[in-house]
Amino acid sequence: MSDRPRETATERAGRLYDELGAGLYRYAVMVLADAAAAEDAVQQVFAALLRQQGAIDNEAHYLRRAIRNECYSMLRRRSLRRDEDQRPLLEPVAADAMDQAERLALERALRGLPPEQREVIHLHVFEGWTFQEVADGCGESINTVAARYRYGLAKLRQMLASR
Amino acid sequence: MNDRQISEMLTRYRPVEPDEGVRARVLAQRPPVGRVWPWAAAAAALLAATIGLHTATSRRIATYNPEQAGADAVDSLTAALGGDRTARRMAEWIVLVGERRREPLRPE
Repeated sequence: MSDRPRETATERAGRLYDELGAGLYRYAVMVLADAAAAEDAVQQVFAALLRQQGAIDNEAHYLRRAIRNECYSMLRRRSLRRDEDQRPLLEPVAADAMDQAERLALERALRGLPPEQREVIHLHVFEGWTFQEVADGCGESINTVAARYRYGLAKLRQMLASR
Repeated sequence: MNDRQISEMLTRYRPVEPDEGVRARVLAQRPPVGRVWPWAAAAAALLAATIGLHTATSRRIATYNPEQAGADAVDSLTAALGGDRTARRMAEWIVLVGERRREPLRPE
């Protein structure tokens, strides 16, 4: 636990959003394949954080677990507005490298993956986690994570080849 | 297209960042000041209404005086019929007939 001066629940939420909010949102966008639902998920996680009275030992771990649980809970409830939110999921890394057709094709292919495969691809490719870190973060074995990654890429290849 | 090419394509993109509005909406949420159980509030309101209705009804029953109520009716009817002695006799007769008609319905 850090020697941080005592802060209110709102102050803590603001600090943690500034430190981790963008990463949590990006994760939710990829797992849910829905930008509007991702915002809902982040709001729910921070609403729960505001209700959390006591100190949190590992804040990053707590929030990553919370966003994961919230995303999969939303998927189980099937509370996503399927095909209604068409906001982009991706943006080009290099601003001058925009290939609209490629981006749209890639997004369509990602939306066609199971969320578990999108999750692994996101954490490994976009966040740079090792397979072991992904396995620890997801509570899965490294073999399961590697398999999801392999099958995910294979399905992406199949869908992109057919466009 | 092989796995390497797919990976290269993916790395040309990244997931979108949240806009400033997301931060504002997330932090606009306020921590709860106290847990309110909506069902308890509804039950309390219902109980208060029941007690209030019972109190008001009991008071009305406790203060009901049939003789006074009859005298008030006669006075009121007398005034409506002209206010003289004849009007009073007529009013007394009307109220008496009305009371006798209601008698079988009065509680013991």
